[in-house]
Amino acid sequence: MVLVYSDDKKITFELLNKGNEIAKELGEKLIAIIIGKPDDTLSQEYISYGADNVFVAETDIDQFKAEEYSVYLENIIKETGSETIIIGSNKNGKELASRLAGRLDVGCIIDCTNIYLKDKKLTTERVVYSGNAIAVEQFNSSPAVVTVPSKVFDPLPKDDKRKGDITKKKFDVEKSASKILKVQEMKM
Amino acid sequence: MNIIVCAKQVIDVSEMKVDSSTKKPILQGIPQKISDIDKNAMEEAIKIKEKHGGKITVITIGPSDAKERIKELLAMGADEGVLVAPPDKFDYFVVSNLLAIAIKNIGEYDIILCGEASIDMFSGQAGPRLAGLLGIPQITYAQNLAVDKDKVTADRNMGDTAVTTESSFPVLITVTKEINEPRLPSLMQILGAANKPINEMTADSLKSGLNPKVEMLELKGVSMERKNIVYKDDIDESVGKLVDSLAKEGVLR
Repeated sequence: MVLVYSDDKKITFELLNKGNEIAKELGEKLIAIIIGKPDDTLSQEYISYGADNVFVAETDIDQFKAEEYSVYLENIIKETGSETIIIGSNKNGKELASRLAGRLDVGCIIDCTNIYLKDKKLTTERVVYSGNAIAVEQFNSSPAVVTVPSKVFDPLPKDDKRKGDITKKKFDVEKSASKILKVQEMKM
Repeated sequence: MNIIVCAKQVIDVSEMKVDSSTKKPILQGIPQKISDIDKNAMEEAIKIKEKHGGKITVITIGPSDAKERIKELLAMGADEGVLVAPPDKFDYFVVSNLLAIAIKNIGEYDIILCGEASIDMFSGQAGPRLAGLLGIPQITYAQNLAVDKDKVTADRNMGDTAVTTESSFPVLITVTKEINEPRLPSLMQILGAANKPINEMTADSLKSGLNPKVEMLELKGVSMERKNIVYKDDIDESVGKLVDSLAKEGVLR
């Protein structure tokens, strides 16, 4: 299966388009992930934007911590047998993908400006050396974890008639030793 | 307090040249340096040591000439260096595993400090990946740190918001370049660094058979030609379109 996750639903919509394309080519299903409280409206939106199914990891945790979110994703990957994981590349997404890759001990590429299959292997492009070059890289193993920034792909046109399954499941996740004390607006 | 700093030797991107015919970057013969933000991590480690005492160990995965770079960090204030020569082919999987084993060999530690990303690749993967591998908490994008005897509190720069996070030890922290101004070592410190130990080892001696999970197929050049796109709509719409196309090109992060 191909998994798509971002805590920013606009990025998720964009990634669902590319994820859909890759899933079709692999003959797999595209699953959008929600970590948090079940949200049927959002789940249906993900399906309307191209997800075949939605997997909701039900939890009361409402603050993002990569330590905990990576465990949810790891559980979902095992549960769904997924080998392609596409994560939105905002600040949360980058540290989440990196930690997840460390936990699973698998390949990971951050900030891809393109992803595609070449010889059936997931292949990516990203900007390196301060914009002076583009690295074309390929996974020789799976699961493969990539992050893609916002606006790299356009979302599919919304199709409210699309139907898909919504799976909800609770996982037992150990709390991180870190604690969020406060969140405030950034001082400029 | 035992502090470990992970530092990477990179080419000085500002000195990099591009082959005019192929548009590919020329990577040979470019001066090497410690990735800028890793020096901020080093500076922060020294500040923690100044307050709480302890030992700072610097780990670099890199070729033998990276020894010179480690000496710079020893001059700044690190106590000991570890240099691991990577295998011929490596990726973040290989590097993070080598770092994890080298760290386990060091033994007990309280804080691992890394730059938020290296200035050459700018993935920001190594730090949080290492934390996941070691199974310890991570505090990323720290723009200031307050270290107490048994915990650390950090303000994390999340763009629009600042998130204050606290953690017990051991913890891995990645810092941003705003966190401090790395010190310049004195001549005496530079001379003194020659007597500090650098423990050199090969990847194979730590773990044999580490093969990358990701392979580089090609390093493509970037065409610097003008795109000659003119946005003629009203200002708001044009700005929106410009931002969209810059994002698509990967110019914005």
